[in-house]
This record gives sequence, structure tokens and C-alpha cells, in this order.
Amino acid sequence: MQPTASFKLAFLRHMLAGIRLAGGVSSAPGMSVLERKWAIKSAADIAMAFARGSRTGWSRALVADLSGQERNRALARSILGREQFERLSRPAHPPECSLLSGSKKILRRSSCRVRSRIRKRPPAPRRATSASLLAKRMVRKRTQVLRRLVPGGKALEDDASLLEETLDYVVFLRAQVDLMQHLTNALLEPSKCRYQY
Amino acid sequence: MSSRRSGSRITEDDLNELVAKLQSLLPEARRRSMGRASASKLLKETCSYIKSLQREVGDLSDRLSDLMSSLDDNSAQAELIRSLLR
Repeated sequence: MQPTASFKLAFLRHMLAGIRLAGGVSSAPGMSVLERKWAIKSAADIAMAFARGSRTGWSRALVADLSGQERNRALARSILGREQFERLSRPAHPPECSLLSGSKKILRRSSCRVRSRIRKRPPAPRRATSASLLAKRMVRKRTQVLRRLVPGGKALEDDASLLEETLDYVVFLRAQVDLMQHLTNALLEPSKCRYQY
Repeated sequence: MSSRRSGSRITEDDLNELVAKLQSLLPEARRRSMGRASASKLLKETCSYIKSLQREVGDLSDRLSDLMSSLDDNSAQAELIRSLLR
């Protein structure tokens, strides 16, 4: 999946709506500098997730995470419009999606957190480890890091799904950076604005 | 996105294909610095790449926020935004 022209347009449209709602001095006079920065960052993520749609885990997770915070819900709803916001934040039911129900996922996530907090690993006995064992351990550790970085990564059942989600996420993350860069340039010098869709 | 049917076992080939795709996603400079690719190096570079992209989004958001707050209602930029939103 590569970013299509329709993705880019959808992203920009929602990004601009978010900027207008959250960014302008005249539209949101009471906002502090930090609030404005946060609001624009949230708008960028909502725009990216929405433009991607509900078929990928990371985009659904991003919307879920963002709308978990009450202050984000109002922003997301305003940017996307009530109907689209509701559609995207509803859990998807396609067969490719994880079969875990929402409550099980939450239980599993919280129990994982508790377990790792309580169980302090005792110092491992020193012994010669084979290179392949070390390599496996590194892969496991780094896979955990990846799960934390990719939205929704922690809920993915197997490493193959994680890799698929990562591939998609990176492609669209790059597009997000690219589009925001062009948007910034356009705002700095509107007369020089040139972009190939 | 993939041709893999849901519920079926992932094959060695599928996994290799995913890993190769991931490697090709990394920018040239990162791929070169990896040297001989191993699964663990690839994961490390991918994580580092994602973090740097996310940081860029944060920086660009800050810049946009500064830009927006310095716009006055009559500027060309404000007009550009208004026209784009119509």
C-alpha cells in the first residue's frame, strides 16, 4: 500500500481543519502555546489515521488512543465530523482483525503491565551463551520496542502481523512528514507553492 | 495488503518477504550503516527510523503552531488556508 493522491488530499484537508480549529490565534484565543502545539500534533495524527482508514490496526489504534483522552474527542469530532468520527472509533469487525474482544485486550494489557512491574527478574546465572541464543534475545527485545512504537502494536498477536503493520505505518508516517513539510513551506511562501499529487 | 489468508500459518517465505520489504523501506544511509543485515539489526534500525520520523512530526507540529500564531488575518497565508478550506 502506498500513499495515494486521495490519501494526501484527505490528510491535508483534515490537517487544515485541525489547524483552523486549534492553531489560529483568532479561532482559539484562550489557548496556551503548549496547548496549541499539542492540538496541532493531535490534528496531524488524527488526519493521518483517518486518511488511512479503518483497515489497518495502527490507524484504528491511533484514533482509539487519541479519543481516549476527553479533550481529544471534541477536537477529533470537530475535525472529522460526527459520523466519520464515530465510524472510525468503532471497533472494526473484518476477519483480519484480532479476534480478541475489546475487554479482553484491556485485561491482557493491564495484566501484562502489572506482571512486569511485580516480577523483578533475578540476576541470571553467568554462563557461556551461544551466539544464536544471544541473537534471539536481541530480536525479542527489539521486537518489544517495535511493539511500543507502532500504534496498536502491543495488541498484535504474532510477529508477522507486527511486521505487516510496521511496513504500512512507516510508509504513511513518511507521507505525514512529507505533507507537513510541504504544508509548512506553502505557508511560509505561498507564491512558491508547488506540489505534485 | 498481503495475500496471506487470515488464520493460516505464516510461512518462512512470507516472513522473509516481510523482512526484505522492511529493509527496502529504510533510507539508503541507514541501510548502508547496517552492514550485514541481521534480524536484530534490522529491527534496531527500524525502531530508530520510526522514532526519528515521529520526532520530525513533533518538530513540524511545533513549527506549524508557531507559524499559525504569527499569522494575522489579512496575510496571504491566511487567505491560502481559507481558500484551501472552502
